[in-house]
Amino acid sequence: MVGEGRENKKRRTDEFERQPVPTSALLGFKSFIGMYAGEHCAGTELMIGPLFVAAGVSAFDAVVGLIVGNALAVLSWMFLCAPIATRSRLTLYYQLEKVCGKKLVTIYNCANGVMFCFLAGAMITVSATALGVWFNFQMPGLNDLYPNSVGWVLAVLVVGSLIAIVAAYGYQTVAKFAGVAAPWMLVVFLAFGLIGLRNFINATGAEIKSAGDLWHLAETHIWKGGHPQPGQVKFTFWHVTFFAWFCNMAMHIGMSDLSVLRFARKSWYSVASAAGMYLGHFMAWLCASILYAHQLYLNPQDIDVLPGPLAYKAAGITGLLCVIIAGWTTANPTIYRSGLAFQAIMPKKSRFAVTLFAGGVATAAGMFPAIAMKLLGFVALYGMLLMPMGAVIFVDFWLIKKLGMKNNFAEFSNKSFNWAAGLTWFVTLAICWWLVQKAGVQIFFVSLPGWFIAAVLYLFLSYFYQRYVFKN
Amino acid sequence: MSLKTNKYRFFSQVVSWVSLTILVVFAGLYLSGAAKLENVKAVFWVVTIVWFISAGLWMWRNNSNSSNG
Repeated sequence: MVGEGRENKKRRTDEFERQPVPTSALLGFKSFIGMYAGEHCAGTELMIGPLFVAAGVSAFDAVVGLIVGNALAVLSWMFLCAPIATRSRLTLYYQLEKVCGKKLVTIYNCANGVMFCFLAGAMITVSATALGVWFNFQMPGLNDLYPNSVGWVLAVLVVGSLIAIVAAYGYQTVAKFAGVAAPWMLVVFLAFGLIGLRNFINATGAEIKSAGDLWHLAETHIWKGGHPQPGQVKFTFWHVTFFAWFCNMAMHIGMSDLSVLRFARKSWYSVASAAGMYLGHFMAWLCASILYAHQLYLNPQDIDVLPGPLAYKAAGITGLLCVIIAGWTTANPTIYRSGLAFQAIMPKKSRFAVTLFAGGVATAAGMFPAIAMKLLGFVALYGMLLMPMGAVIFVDFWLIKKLGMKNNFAEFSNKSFNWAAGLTWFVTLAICWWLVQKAGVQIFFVSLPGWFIAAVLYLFLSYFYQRYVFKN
Repeated sequence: MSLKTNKYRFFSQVVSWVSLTILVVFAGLYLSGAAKLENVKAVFWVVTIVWFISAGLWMWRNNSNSSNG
């Protein structure tokens, strides 16, 4: 028993950061269903659903856009990320190090770790809104950028510290906690929707006797379309589709989930991401948006998106607990990933220490409501920032050898900075920035042309860079 | 000993899934207008406690086993 305990402890602190995952450590399909369902049925869903309503989305655009966009996201996990993850079985950071070199990966890891921290910060923000209901301190509004009360800062500090400590104990601990909470959370999210629907029926006096009646209620009162709230971008079918597809772009197309799916016995286990997409990014978003639409119906001036109060009105203490736990189970793997990113920069530091550090940064970020309140734009930016390196990994893994060049070029040439990969990243981001700022392409769409630009650039630049290195 | 453990495990599994079913049923009852929201919220709270105790008993252990490879 003692030996087994020691072995478990050793495995918890040594999760194959710089070696392929051995066969004995591979996980079954169920682990990924639990992980994806828990991770994508999160506190932030209670922000995103309402923000869709605030963006003036119509019923058809919301429902059909989410069906299509989520399908594209699952396909991206299955055909872009998982095949590489299950062949190389390396973390994203180690894979990148082989392709890009240590110095470039250090820059990438800084960007990635910081973005993960900000994302986890938004999740902590959401959880902290639940404490506001209990302790009745002033909470941030839709357009607030900075912390606006001491109570708010303390609430974020408590929630963030607890999440950071749990995350520091590692993926297995996180997966266990998320696994227990996930089924309950999904059911509570469903309950939010059913209760919100009844509240709408009561408020409008609508009679629902058929699916047609329900759709009519959805079109006329819940997702009415029309103008967005002040300061929000108008969302159409294409916005919803691309948002659903790209909101986890860093993880599928950007290849961050190499670090997770390297534990999968088979590549197709990535289809488990559908559990997260259709339960979390479909059902949960729609249910959460019903709660916010009801709030707006009762008082059109009450535009604040505060998941804690929304959930409390619908489901009481259970709703509040759901907001806290949902934020927690999502922030955990995000902080864990961030810890992996920082550990790749500082390999001598223990993962425990770097994850605690990442949790601290996330907690500090969570105190600023700007990230959560502008979550739609932030998530799109986050995907765009990391997407070019996903294209680099894809091209390096599948294409570059077939075109007569060397893959894993930094490792092969002993270079610490692969200029072909570095320039691909920076130039792609510059072009994307130009497209957004000057050509009028919205940030929600720019990553699609961005990926192809990055792929072509990397091939083109690699050809010249490898020739240059071989000559010298 | 193993038989007894299996019985406890089966019992806790049944309790946990029944508790979630009750949660959905009561949400459905509210949707159909057959239950008051205050009663539904009270049921939700009890169900939540039951879920975390009963599911924790078997799911935590389950996850430990799978993590051991």
